[in-house]
Amino acid sequence: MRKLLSLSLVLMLVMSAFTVSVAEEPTVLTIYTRGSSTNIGTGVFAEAEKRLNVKLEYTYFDDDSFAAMLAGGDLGDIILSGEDIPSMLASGLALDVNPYIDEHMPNLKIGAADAAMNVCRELMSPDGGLYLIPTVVGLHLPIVGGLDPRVYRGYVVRWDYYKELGCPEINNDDDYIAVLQQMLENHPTNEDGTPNLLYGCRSGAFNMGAYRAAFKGDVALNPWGNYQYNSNIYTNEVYDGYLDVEHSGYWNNMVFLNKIYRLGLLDEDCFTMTSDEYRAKLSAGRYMGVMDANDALYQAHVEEDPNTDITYMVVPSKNMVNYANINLILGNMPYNYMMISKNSKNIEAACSFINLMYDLDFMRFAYSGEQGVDWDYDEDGVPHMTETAIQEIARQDPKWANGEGNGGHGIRVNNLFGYNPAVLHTDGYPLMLTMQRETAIAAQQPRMLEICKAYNVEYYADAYAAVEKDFRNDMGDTIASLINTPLDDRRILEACQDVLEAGLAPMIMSESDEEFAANQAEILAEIEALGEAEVFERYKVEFDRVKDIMIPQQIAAQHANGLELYPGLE
Amino acid sequence: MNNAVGKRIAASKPRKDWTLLLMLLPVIAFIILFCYVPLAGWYLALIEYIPGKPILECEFVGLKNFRSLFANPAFFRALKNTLIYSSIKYVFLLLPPVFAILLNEINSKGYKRVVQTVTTLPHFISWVIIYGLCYALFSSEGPVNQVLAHFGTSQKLLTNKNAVYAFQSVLHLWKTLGWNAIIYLAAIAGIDQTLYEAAEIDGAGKFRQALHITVPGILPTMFVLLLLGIADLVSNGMDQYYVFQNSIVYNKLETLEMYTYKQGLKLQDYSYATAIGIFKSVISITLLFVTNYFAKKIRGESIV
Amino acid sequence: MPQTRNKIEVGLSRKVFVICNTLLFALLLFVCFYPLWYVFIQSLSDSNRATQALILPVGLTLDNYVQLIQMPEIFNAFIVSILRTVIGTAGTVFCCMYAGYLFTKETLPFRKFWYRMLVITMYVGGGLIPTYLVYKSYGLLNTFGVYVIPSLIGAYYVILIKTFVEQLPSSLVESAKIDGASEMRVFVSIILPLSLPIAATIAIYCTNGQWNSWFDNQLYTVTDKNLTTLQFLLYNYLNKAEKLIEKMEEQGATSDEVARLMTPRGIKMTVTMISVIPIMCVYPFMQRYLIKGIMIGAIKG
Repeated sequence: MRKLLSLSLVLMLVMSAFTVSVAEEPTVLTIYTRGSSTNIGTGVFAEAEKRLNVKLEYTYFDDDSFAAMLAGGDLGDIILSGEDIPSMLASGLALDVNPYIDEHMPNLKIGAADAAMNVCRELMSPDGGLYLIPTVVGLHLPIVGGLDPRVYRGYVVRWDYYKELGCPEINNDDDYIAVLQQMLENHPTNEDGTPNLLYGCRSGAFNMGAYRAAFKGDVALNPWGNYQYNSNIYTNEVYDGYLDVEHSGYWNNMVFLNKIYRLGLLDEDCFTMTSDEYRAKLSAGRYMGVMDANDALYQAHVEEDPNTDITYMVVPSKNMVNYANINLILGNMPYNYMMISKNSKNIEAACSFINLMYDLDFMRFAYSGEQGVDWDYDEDGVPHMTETAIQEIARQDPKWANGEGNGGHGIRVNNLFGYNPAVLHTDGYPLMLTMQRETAIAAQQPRMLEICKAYNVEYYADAYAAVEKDFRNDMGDTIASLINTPLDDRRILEACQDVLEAGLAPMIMSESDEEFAANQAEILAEIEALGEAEVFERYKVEFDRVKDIMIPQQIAAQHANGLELYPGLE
Repeated sequence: MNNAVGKRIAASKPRKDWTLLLMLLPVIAFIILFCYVPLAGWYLALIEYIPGKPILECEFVGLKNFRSLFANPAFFRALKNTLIYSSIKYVFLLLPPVFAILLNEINSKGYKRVVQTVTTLPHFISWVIIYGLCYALFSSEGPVNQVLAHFGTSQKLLTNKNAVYAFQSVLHLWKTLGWNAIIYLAAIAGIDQTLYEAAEIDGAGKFRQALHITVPGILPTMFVLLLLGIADLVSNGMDQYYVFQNSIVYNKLETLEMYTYKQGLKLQDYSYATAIGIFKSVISITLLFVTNYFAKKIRGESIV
Repeated sequence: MPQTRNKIEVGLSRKVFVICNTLLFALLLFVCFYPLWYVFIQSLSDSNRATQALILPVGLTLDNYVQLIQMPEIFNAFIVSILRTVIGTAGTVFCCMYAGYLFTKETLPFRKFWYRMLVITMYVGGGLIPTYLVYKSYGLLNTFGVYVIPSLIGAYYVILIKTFVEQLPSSLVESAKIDGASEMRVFVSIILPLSLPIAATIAIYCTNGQWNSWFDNQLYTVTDKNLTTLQFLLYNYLNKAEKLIEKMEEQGATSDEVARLMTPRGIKMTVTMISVIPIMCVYPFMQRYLIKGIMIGAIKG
């Protein structure tokens, strides 16, 4: 009798353990990606795992591995990719999620998400099904700032030396070179005796070409188009950056770099430096000006002096364009989509995950932290960040930092999030509460305060907004991401890129105007011979077609955001 | 007399031993399964393959990929570079046996072992790192230029268009010399020691011993490797040339593999990449058998 | 008397030769050793300043090693790498010796045909995707087998073995056969011991190949984390970052976004050291088979 009793007791225990453990077993969701890591495993995603009872596993795939996986048909659950769209759609391995929206992904029917999904259905799908789910949609970086202290693009100078000169105005490339020259004369060598250099840039047709010059007011191009086909940020007209010398970031920058070369001040190693050598020079502060603002120099000094002014900073300039007020219908990374694999065994779990990424409350949590700890509503129902949170942000606490393995709250952009931080919550305020003006002002970091001091403003973004136009009209990369360039055309364009790469050196190192013109003519001839002009014709037709569809949406969206558009968009 | 195993003096034709074939069967099965079955993939060159789309549903385009390959000047430029690098490498193929023979003449066993080990070290260092080292040494601020500055000159090895072929070839030689000599050291180790003793007694000096014993001892290995080397003329690898790229030497560094990577794999155009692969295979095998034929004429026996 | 004179002349020119030879190898030694020294000192340098180290470490520190060794998967990856190296090398050496010896037999029916079939495999390949699909259909994906089975027979190795065995003195085999030894006996007691140099060479090549492989990991076993090899882990630190940086720079990433991906110089060098050191321990061990001195006479006796 006792034996029977103890046996049944044991049996009951075993069964209860079994059922409990079965209930607790989380589904494993595998996310395959073609891009770099997106901080999975950190605070925000740990919370997501808890709420959904899933375990997120993340694997990065190289070009070759991904093609092999596609061929073999094993694609896990969720795929995050941009470059494989034609393959994914042609292979039929992407799931049409339309049937799942009502039950599992209701958040995709709301507001900016709905608009984005509709674009995908109309323009990116062969049959109206929803195969690709864009991420990080909505308004980006309104004038009322963001958490990002570095405005990357424009005339970048070494700030402490620049201050010494009294922050002279820089309104064009010649001013820029003159100011940098003066800084170099004042500081010909570094602290440890190595000679300083005028301008820092690194090899590559993008780095030494389109990037910097595109943000100049007289060029005004969106540099993230396909290859060198960049569009005007006011009218969204697309230009042939290879042959159209007037409207090309590449050619414009060649003139600039050539000027520096002829002064004998170009860093000879700019063509051969590796990225870590470049970074070492940046950290040492040996450049007076660089191609884009970066953290390297600041990080080298901030530990000694938290209020250091030794950093690279972008100077507000009448001739620059401010990267703000962009409406991203398809998200900050219009080339990045989430897809669910048809062969997935966890379709519903994958849907719930995506639904969570589009959940406004969860996004508020991701960008602003926990309610009650980092932010809360006041008596009038207005949400505010708490004092502690503001101070954490101001002193760049890792909980709010943008690196791997960090807390992950308040990151400006994460490839998996559904909304951009400036999108409004149902309570009427931005998801990222530091974007409210008073909070933003209070949470300013030391480098932002430097700008405030130098330009006599309360909020650092005001200094730029005061003199620069912004990106409110621009749809360049959104449109570019919706165009499928056929393989043969892409082959021609790759060859053209090679010609531009090989052309960097002779162009930059031309000794005279005649030589410059001659080299340029040679490169243009080579590109024409490859048949590029016809490729552009075809591209422009597609571009204009998509543009005409998107413009009314852009106008409507920006008006809803309360922005008056610049002339040129109608 | 130094008869090799397998060479018979008897003129009679050897009987076939079928048990040997039975023993070879697993080997043959393995080769078929792992080397020949995947060759069905050559079909990809005849279609417009999109990864993920079932192969049979892809559009059949016949020889289009080959036609666009041969119409492309970039392809020929890459081919030219590949041939230049391969030719220089081929001449350098004579150096590992020389290395092995010279090393054999070192009397101190300890020194020999140290040299053997240390000269293989470059083989283990990846090209990415080697570029880092070359940059550190040869950049405008590097030690080489600092020394040359005292003499009033400077060098720009990394951006010197004219030195590219020579520089890359020397680098490749440095990386592979010690490693490639291993097989020759093995061959020398297999030479009958008593031959040297006999020669010593006959009054032959070290040099004559080397010439008449060591060299013939490694000659069969040399022949095989030289023959196989010719067939490798269109294969060159990409890693080395990829890391040394810069705007100035760009056009001279692109090998066939790099071209395949840029115009094929990077664009996910596997059909094109397969077409290039087929081209390389056909050329290699043709070279192999043509050279084998001539080797037979010259040497009296074929190597393959 | 002419002999003595020759001997003296020979003595002088021989001495000159020996000196030149020694110096030549000393130069070669330096040129081959310095790069590894460069890697070594940079692995011991402070990561942010490592690029400056040329002769001695800059900011001497063991941080890089500590950081790498603390990588969560490194111990498991190390075990996987050792296993595949040992098993793969043993398997390949055995199978190639087997095949190589069979090919030396002239009584093998259609020998030339099979041999050419083997040699051709060195120059043809199905391509990445077809090979992947074939392995998938054999059930090799995400298994340990994919590391060792496809490389069991390598045409290049078989060719080297065949060439080597063919030039062993036939008199030994013949005299053994006259003494009444069977085929198997000949193989085991004569051919095998004499083939130690070539077996050692193949073992060195195989060990090197297995230890340094990462691409098969990336392609065939990337979703099974338990099968990650050390090289693949290290590759992610070393080369993958470079390729990703290229791609990101082409797509317009800023310097900081790139920097986040970039492996600091010190870590890169440490990665290389960790990959090189184990091989360097194995190689000298194999070397003794390569040093001249195997006395065939001893075997005869």
